[in-house]
Amino acid sequence: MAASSVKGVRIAGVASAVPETVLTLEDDAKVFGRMEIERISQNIGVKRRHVVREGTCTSDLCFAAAARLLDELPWPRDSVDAIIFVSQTADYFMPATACVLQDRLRLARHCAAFDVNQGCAGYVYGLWIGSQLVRGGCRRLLLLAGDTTSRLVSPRDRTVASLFGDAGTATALEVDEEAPAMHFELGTDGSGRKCLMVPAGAFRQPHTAQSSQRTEREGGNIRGDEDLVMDGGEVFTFALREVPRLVQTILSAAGCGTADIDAFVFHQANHFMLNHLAKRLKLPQEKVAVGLTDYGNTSSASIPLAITTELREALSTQGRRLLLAGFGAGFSWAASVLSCGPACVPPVLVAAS
Amino acid sequence: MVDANAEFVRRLAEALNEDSAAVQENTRLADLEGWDSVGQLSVIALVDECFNRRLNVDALRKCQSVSDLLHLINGQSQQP
Repeated sequence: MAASSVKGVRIAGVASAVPETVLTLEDDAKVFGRMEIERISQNIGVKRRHVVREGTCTSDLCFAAAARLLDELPWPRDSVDAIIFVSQTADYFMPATACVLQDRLRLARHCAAFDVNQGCAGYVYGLWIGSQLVRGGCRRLLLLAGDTTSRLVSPRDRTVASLFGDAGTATALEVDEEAPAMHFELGTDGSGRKCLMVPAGAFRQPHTAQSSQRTEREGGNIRGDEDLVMDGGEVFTFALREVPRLVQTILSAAGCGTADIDAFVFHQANHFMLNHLAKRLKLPQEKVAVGLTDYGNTSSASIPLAITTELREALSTQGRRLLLAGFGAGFSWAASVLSCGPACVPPVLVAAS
Repeated sequence: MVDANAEFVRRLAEALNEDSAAVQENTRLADLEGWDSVGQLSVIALVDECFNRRLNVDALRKCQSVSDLLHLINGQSQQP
């Protein structure tokens, strides 16, 4: 696994935005029946989630979060030297959505802009790349991470329909010689790529009339090849295999134990997974951030969204040592031990959409 | 191992949301309402917790009975 540590980079702020439309278990019960939905929701622990209307993109949510952050931080816009957009739901095949956002946020022309195609591990990936860039000469950097996974799932596929929500986030990184080291650990097992993917619609399996047809699949679920498909059993097994190991490795790289960490913020996959990982790693429950009940699994946004909803008050006034761990599509995984706060962490924005 | 099996079968009933009497070694998994994709996740978690093993998911789905499941777990636990 790739390991690295970066000194002298500070997280100046984290902001998160969600769309205003809310879907609840009542809505899901109309599709799948109440008994079925109660059983699923008891397990995954999602009671409602915010989803975009047609026409709203991840970049719109990230824009709202970034604009808010730029309003609150004492950052002249021309001091932002790079913008990174981490997502699996870009605006276009080309150009990079980060270029769209550079323009919309009125950032300077000397600002570098590029996208990173990563999902649930993507936020930590973005921090890893962003911190290296700041270390390498960028004065200030905006990391925008988000997804509108609701647009990728078939509403009649019970394995995913009531799990995913949409959100966009913005994180501000800047040079600070006093900032303690951020530690990173990343890894990949691409042999698991089929367990969490959208098979058709790009270039390996281009869009056809047939690929967009939804048909009945295993377990009576209805979806097409252009919809997200998830093998929950394989993804869960992958997480149980890699995440405990990942957490131990990053703790030893950072030279600390679980007692030295103030909060563990895992990718908010589902409640069952978070509980099991916490139990497996013998973590005190009060230190494990759980923020998915009202938002669902928001893919690359889930870690910064959980930071916003669960740690906002603590981080606004004081510094905290956090362990972040993302894992998912790829299979990809990435973890960090870092210090954050006092930082600008506004409450979750509900964006008109 | 017999005791570990008995303990596992008892906890399997809990994990699948079934009466303990309904889950015996010779029970056919297809007869249990709780043996669906959600139930299978609970079994994967239970085996991870009790035996520190990550089950092969395909092999798990092919299990017909509780005793197949025990064979799978015990077979895997003999591997290094």
